[in-house]
Amino acid sequence: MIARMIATIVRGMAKARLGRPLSGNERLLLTSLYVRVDQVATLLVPSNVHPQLIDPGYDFVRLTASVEANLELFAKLRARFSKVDAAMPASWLGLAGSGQAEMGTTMRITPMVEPTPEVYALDRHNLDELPVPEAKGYLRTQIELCAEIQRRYPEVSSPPIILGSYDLAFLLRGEKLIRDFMLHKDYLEAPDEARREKVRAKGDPMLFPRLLAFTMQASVALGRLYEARGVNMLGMVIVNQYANPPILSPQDFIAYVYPSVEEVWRAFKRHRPTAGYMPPSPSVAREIIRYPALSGIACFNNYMFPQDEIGLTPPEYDEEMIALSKEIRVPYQYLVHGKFLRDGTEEEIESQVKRVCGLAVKARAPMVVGLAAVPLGTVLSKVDIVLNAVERYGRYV
Amino acid sequence: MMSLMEMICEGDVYTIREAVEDALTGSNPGQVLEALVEGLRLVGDRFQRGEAFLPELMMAGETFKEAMDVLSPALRDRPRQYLGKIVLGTVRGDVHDIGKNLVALMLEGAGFEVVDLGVDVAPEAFVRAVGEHQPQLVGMSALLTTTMLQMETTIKALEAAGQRDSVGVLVGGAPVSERFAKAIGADAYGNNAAQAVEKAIALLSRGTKPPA
Repeated sequence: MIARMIATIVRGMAKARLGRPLSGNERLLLTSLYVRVDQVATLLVPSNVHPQLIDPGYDFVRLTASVEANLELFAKLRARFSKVDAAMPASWLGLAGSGQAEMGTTMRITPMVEPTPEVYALDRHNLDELPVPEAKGYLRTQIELCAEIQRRYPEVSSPPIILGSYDLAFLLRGEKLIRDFMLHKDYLEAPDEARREKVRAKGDPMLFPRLLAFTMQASVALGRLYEARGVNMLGMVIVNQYANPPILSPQDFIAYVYPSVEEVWRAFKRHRPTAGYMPPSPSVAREIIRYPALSGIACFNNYMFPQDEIGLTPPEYDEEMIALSKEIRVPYQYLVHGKFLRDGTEEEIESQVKRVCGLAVKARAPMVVGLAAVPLGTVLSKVDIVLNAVERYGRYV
Repeated sequence: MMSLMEMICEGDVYTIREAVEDALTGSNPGQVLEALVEGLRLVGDRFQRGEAFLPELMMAGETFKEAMDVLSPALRDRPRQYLGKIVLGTVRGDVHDIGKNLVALMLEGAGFEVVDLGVDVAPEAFVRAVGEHQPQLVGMSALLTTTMLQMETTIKALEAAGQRDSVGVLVGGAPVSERFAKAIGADAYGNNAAQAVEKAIALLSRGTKPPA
């Protein structure tokens, strides 16, 4: 698998040098290595496309129960959007396949709504009763699916995506985790014993660090399950999206969560993962890149930038991110947000893609344009408009 | 020594009860309430500007509730400013309630009576609640692109029940947009909790059913 990937990169570089057209996978791989190729790369995350938009025969009940159903739908999605450079991860299990269900959290699985936690494990069990995840249930389906996608589509980058310590804690504890965090922080910052006693009267201020220590081990265990199944770990991502603003401030994330994220990151020595912490602004992006686990491509996008009422992120941020991308040699991923794709007119969508591609071309900076979500109610031809606009306005030569 | 306003802003749930008791010996309950509400408004503004985050907002809410526990008996003879009544819930199929709870808290702080129906609220449950509580406003929240479609179903259910003209409908949640709100026939859209309060007040002044 790795040899095949290296061959893809070498072939792509040769083609780029000779001015010959690149395949989508070659373009995305080279762009992710910060090699400027023929045009801006495009990315579609299948799990963010509502299955019914691709084929009404597929729903979340079917997709969480069957590896094969996901593979079938992935093939249909690839056929529908043949122009997209890369599509990964090819799974519609969403939160169901992340491991917390096998640790005690009950998931709500209905045909039309993506899997959501219904009863959190720590609402029914004590922390010391929770098991470290094993390859069973939805988690097993997710691991098998990842392995099968890698086997069937070796040219496609399909790394495992595992929950980090904070997200796993959130999916075991729910929003109570936020209060646990504040009790812990207030306890540590209390000026005297009297104040600490008052904090203790409101709850256990040490539950938060105990839970994070446990989920840190569980997160590593999740990665090990993928390894044990023979999954190629190159490009693995550790996701902590619940730790992003507006839930936690970047400062609190760094002070209270990041140490456990880095522990998980360090546990995978051979293929260092990227921790998916997405900054709320270019200035925070600049701050976090000095932390080793936060310097990869998964952290360098506009996913968590503030959105206006129609789902657009601040245009001035794009220029800053592209400039920063040149400094750190990590491509900026500009994501078209779901509500803008759904509610924006075709002209507005084309105009935004034209604008951001224009910035990348002018700066001669490798960049990826992706779709953050394709929600129900979206006219699928708008995805084509994004892809066509990249082809038209995102050419470097 | 922090002021009551600062204590709400800082989420000092640990000592707010004593502070309110102390304040009541030197100030009238109305002044105490004003300080608490101002604290809530300030932290809401900070959240809107990206200077405060969810933990601060949630602790401010808990602190406000603790304070009101102490203050409410003293306010019994001095009713708070009453803006109106709103029935609020997360729509059917959606079990997320952080955003909805924040909106409820901010609305209460601003002077609304909030009837919180919780999460996963069916259209018919909204209809029942409107019939029972006779609110001026209905507020709906959704976090998922798949569940937000229930907002339109709920508005249609209000229409079918002959209730639509008597209530203003306010919608919000991460996947919701102004355009979506207009397309489904909602009266207003709030991009965040603070804006939801502004829009709710604006809806009342626009002449939805007058406060009871």
